Amino acid sequence: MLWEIITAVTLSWARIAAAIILSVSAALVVGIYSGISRRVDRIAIPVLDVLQSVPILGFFPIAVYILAKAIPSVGYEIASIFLIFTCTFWNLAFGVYEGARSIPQTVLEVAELSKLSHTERLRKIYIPATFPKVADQLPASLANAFYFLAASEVMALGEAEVRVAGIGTLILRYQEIGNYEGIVLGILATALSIAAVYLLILTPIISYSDKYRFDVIKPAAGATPSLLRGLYSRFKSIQAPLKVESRRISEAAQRLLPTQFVNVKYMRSDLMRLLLIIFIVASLVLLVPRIYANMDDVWAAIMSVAAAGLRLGLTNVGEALAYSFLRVLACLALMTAFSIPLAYFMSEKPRIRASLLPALQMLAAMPSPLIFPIISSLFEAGALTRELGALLLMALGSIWYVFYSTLSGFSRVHSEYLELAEMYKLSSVQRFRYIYIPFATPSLVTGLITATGGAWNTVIVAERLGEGGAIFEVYSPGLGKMMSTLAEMADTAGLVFTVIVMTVFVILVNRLLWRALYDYSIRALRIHEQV
Amino acid sequence: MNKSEALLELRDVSHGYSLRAGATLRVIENLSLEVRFNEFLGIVGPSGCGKSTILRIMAGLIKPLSGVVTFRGSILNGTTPRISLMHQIPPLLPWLTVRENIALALIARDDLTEEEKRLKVTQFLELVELTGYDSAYPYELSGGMKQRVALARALVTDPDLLLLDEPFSNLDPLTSLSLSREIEYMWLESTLPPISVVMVSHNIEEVVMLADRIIVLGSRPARILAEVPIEMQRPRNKKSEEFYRLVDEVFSLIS
Repeated sequence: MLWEIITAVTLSWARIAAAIILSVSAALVVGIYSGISRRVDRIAIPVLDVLQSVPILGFFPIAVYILAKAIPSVGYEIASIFLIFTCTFWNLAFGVYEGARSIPQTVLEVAELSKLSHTERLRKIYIPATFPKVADQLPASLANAFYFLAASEVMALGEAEVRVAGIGTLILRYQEIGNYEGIVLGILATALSIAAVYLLILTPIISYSDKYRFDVIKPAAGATPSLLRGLYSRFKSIQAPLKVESRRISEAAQRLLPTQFVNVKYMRSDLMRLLLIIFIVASLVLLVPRIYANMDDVWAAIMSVAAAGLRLGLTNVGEALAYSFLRVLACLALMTAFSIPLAYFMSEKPRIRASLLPALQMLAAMPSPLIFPIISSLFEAGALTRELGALLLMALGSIWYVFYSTLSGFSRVHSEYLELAEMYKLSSVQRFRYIYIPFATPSLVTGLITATGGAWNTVIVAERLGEGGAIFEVYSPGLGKMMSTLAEMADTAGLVFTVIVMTVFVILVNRLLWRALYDYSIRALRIHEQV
Repeated sequence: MNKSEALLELRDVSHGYSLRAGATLRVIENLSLEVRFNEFLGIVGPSGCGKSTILRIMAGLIKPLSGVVTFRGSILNGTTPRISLMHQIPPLLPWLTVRENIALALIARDDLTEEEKRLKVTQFLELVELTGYDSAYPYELSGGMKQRVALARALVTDPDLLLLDEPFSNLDPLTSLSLSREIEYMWLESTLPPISVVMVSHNIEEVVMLADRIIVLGSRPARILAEVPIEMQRPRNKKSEEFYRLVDEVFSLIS
């Protein structure tokens, strides 16, 4: 059994590594080019934004079906890696974009003046400058990959279900056959491997990336466990060319950018967005006939989707949507209530932060099946706790986006401001109200935007949970519950209809509520691009 | 209580930062100096010599690794409203108005009523010539105005000692001249804070213009190379021969 577990962990890691490498490369390409080229920015960022907020899990059956049909031998492996990719890519891409956008103008002018070639620019400026963002986002990506691992290793469409070998599916199987020893060992092995990767790979990468940061970093006492100091001092010898450059640049940047804030300004083109929605709907419409091979008429497909809508009943769908939206909102409130106090506590106590971060990372990376027993006991207990279980499941999927954004927002508070607070003896509450919260609000809102996408994605799993053969669902209606049921019945037309409803709704809310909130917070806080 | 002549005194102060396990970067070693009553003390030295660290030790923001800091005869433990520090780049909170930014210095004080706080802020707004800018936000101000808000904030607590960290380095010559006159005026005027001022700078002319006494520091770890008393009449004339001579003297001590 031990051997089985070790093999499974290794296989899962190989898959995750492939997905992460893919995500980082894609994020660098998309993020950098959107960050530097207005034209790419105008197209890529709305595309990312839409794709990110689209309920991916709803698309999966379709995507898997196509991949498996196209390449039967490795189709499922590729599909699985693709599923992991969709859990790890978004935050990386937005992080890189943010990093590319916040490169000081002076640095770009220097590049212009010294006539750096395209590749030189990428190598000497863009990649190093966005590297810290990648390093910041890796823990969240990794955590997400593990959290959704079981979902990514199981592919289901209707009756057919394929599982690729990995620790996610292995734990799932142990749960089904009631092998508790196996579950515990599997969890232990996963936790150990995550701890090892975190300490030996991620922590050095993050500390190393600090050298490439433009913003002033407050001397975080003991930010890195001393055990690792020796290890990455070896890494230090590798870096050299950019050190002097980046220091000089950062001095200039300190003057130019007293405070750097996230600028999410990618909502420029409404037309673009509309085109995108049309594009997505159109591609869906084009996919449907492929699945219904006997129906080659596109119109017939559209009609069947529309018919599905009528069959489901518009009021039913609307009601389900309203309930799910309420759940998403409650989930966001839960995440904020968790993230702000913890992030504040950790920024005030750098020592505790240093030891708590790896522990949190491990907690964040616990694959979702591990908490299923807790959730399902909540589900068994009654209607109210069942709602709570669904909320918990949704929150755990994306709470880390909010937490890490809040933490990074708090760490934007430069030491001068903290000195100010110390000189004038501000109380904790005053510090919080006048300094920490305003500084972190833009990051917090950005985190919440990302988390909303995540929460909508998880709705499908959370409202209707299949665990060890049993199915638990919330008593009240929910769009996720509806979609999950439709997927099980292999009702593709119905599924497509609900996916479209969810997508359009998510985009509308994103546009009307979140962007407005973000802009409002920027205005209310008098934060301007160049303060 | 020990009635010493100094307002603030550093005795055998050493400080450094730990780089890696074991290794420490010594920034200040066995430094002793005093800030006298009614004195304008200038500290000059090459950049990176630890001037800002000394200022933060004086402010009670940094506790030195060894040595003693006494303020008015008793040991300084942490920050006190009696000592104010003005940063090189004024850390104004962008979401607070000019008035609110200044009032921030008084927000934690419970010995003053709200009305007293309001009056104090108004008084200092007037002193730094920012009346009418109460409800402006920092981004609407020029560099010199921002620095004046920071000055008002530093003085509104009625400090005995004002610490200035390169206060003019980000300003144009004209603005820095008017700001330096303002600081000199506040210090000379006995009814206004502060009693003494310490200014750290790498601009020698600026320091010769204002200081009664200049301490010249050598590079890392910081130690005192020389002490130059400036006994020129105020207001000082930048074009006088004496001024040139003093600037030259300090300059040759540094280089």
